[in-house]
Amino acid sequence: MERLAPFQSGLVVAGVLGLLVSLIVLRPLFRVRTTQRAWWVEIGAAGTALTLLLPVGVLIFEQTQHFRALQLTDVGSPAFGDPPMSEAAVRATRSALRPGESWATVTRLGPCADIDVYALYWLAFRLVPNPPDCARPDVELYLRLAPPPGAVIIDRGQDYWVVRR
Amino acid sequence: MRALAAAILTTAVPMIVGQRWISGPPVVRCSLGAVLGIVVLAIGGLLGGLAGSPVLGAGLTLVVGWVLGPRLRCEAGAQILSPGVARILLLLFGVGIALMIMSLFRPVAGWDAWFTWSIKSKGLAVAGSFDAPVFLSPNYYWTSPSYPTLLPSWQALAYIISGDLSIGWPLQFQQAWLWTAGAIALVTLCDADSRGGFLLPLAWIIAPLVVWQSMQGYADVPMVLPLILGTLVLRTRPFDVRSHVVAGVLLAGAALTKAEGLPLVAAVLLCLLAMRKPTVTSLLAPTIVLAAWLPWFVFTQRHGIASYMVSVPMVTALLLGNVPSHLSQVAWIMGSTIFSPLRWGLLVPACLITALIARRLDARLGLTTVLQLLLFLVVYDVAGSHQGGGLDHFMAKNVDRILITPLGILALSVGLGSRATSSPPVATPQV
Repeated sequence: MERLAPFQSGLVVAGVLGLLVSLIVLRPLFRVRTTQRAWWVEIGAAGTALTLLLPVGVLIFEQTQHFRALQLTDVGSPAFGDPPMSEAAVRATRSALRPGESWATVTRLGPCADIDVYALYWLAFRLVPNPPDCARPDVELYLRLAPPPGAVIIDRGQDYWVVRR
Repeated sequence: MRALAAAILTTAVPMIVGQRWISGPPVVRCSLGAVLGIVVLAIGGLLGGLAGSPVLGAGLTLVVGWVLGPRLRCEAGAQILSPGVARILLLLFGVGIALMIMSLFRPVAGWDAWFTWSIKSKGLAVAGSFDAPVFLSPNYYWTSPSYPTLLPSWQALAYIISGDLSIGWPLQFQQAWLWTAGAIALVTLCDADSRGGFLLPLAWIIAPLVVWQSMQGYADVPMVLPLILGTLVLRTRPFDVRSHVVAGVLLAGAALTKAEGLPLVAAVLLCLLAMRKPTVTSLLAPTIVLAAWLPWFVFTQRHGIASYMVSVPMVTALLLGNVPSHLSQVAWIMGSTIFSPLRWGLLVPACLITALIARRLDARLGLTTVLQLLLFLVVYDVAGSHQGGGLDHFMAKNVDRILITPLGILALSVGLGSRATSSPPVATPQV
């Protein structure tokens, strides 16, 4: 719920508008002549769902804006959170890889052991068709960890080093 | 331009083919036809992927679908809509357009969407075959390689046509398109089957969790839409051969979309067909489902790809008492999700109250709901028993999503059961 807090006012406005839309859309059904009490329960359920449709639309819009702000075109990030690594790190690793070569991430926890549990998988999605190989990678991406002395560094950024083995 | 072509060719073209299978008003032909056409296209992509060319497979299947459509055309929908339905359809169309526009600016959104599904689309698009590292290499064990690949087969076509693996919006567009077509088809078919009985199915299809998930890229909504529509077609015309064929194709789509698809479809078929007087026609849909499902199953067996969520040793260990059962804990988590006001608690009480005070329930669909819920209970117990102490966390990640299908069937069972056993509301119909 705390993730929704920044959008609270927008969601309330959307809810009120959603209620209005719901009333307009369901109005012909109010005039249906029926003695069935269940009919009103069904209208209530549909009306509530219709009312909530607009706030959900607002949330999807906000999520889309979030992706756009992070310039993510390929893959999303956790709900309104940051991706596990910078786009620069992804680009550097991608350009270091030749067809058929494998790669691995290295963090302070070790090879393929992620600071963020999904970092390896996230990168694997970005780097298809080059497969991850934690045992014998051709290229290693050191994340927030400097490579050992003597490593062949082929690219580096603020918090990453791309190393060829 | 190629990305745009990818989005349109994988959505509009199958709709044009699919609508030839359906007879009825244009709104039904286009919506139900769109979902049917997508299933046909994706099955073609899957078979093509097994044979080494998804595009060729999809193209050939569309041609076959185009030719067979008029011969297998099934009657669906009514020419006259109930009061209010036209407005609701207009609203659904508007919401769908809004989702499609937003999809143009979205990557593959949710974790599981790329982690499990879209990575396979990329793998298939690059290799042109399922004999690729993404499906067979142990380095990709975490993608659940045993899962059926109908959704990746459909999405791979978009990647292939766009020629760019770094743009995910055509895949998001596909999902928005599918939800829109499915929602419109559901309301019109429910209205045709049982006048006024569309309200609870409407409340389900526009429930916050369903709309949200449809835009996250997960496979749950793509699975449930053909499943619900196939169930509807099968229930509406239980003795019509052509309806059984169309329902069979739709249910095959559901069975091939997720790992739990086949057992969920089996529950539908068991309740709708096995509980009737047996006829040759009633074998059609199950035969189509099995025939479509078999090639992927053979592929997984040939390559020794097994499910790591539920396996024979796991079930045996549970039955022998070697691992503790968490049945009551699983039931509690599922129950609290179903009745939580912030999750499913708006739909389920409405269904139960309606069923109770109006004494309206389609018994076969009601039983299907119970079977499907029991299935998930057992699956979570088996899988959860091997998760160690993190059952709450394990279930929290997906319990909302897995309930989409049984609760959709519940909405149908009350919504459609409604007018079957009691007099319908009197209303002035509108065209």
